[in-house]
Amino acid sequence: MPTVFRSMRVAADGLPVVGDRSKELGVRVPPNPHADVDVDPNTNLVVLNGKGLSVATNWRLLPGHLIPARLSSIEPRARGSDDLKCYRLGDGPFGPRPVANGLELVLKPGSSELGNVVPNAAVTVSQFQADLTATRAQWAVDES
Amino acid sequence: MNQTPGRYFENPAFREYIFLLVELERLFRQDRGQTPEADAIREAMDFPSHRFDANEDKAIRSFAHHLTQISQQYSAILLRTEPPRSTDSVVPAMPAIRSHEDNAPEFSK
Repeated sequence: MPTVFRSMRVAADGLPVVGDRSKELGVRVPPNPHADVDVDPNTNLVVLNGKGLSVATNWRLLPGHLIPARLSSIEPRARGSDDLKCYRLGDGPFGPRPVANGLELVLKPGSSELGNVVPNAAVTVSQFQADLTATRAQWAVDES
Repeated sequence: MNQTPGRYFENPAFREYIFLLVELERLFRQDRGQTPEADAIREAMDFPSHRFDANEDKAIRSFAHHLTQISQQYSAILLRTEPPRSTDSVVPAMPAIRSHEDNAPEFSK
């Protein structure tokens, strides 16, 4: 399983908040104008076009507005909300490979540092969200 | 994915992100980086941030890095802004200064 990082809101139990809004463990879906995935209106299945849950090989490579500002002594670009935490999932090299049951990592075009966690087969949005939710306990805070 | 009508400043998402980045930095310089206003800017940054290619992303990172460096230098040389005060509210207790001001040329009063 590749190591991926993502900054997310933290729930009372210390694990990431599950949901379909930004900075949560889940994807935004249509009709949200900022949807992270496309859904085929005829089949209601997630379109397998590389879109999904955005992740990076390290939290330092996330966009600055997603890195908590309290980490600016480590990464000067950090201008995110201090309510976020940087989570790590997995422990293998960052690359296109399975992430968890039903999920795989695809790299963003031209990048070896940024990627998306996507379904590994055509599934409904609810199945994709369930597969992402199933990884919740495996995300650990890692801001080192 | 990441199809854009142009690259860098020809890419509307790139321009929008740069604009929002500068606005967010302005709030941080004013110690307002953890306010609802800053949260709203960050929320608006999500959408364009998914519309860069790898080179644009590197350019944004580099720009953000330099922007924060400039901002830190800028903050270091700036005095904290205070609301303007009338000299009349301060000077009566300081006769020497009052006297100096009375003798000063008109343009410096």
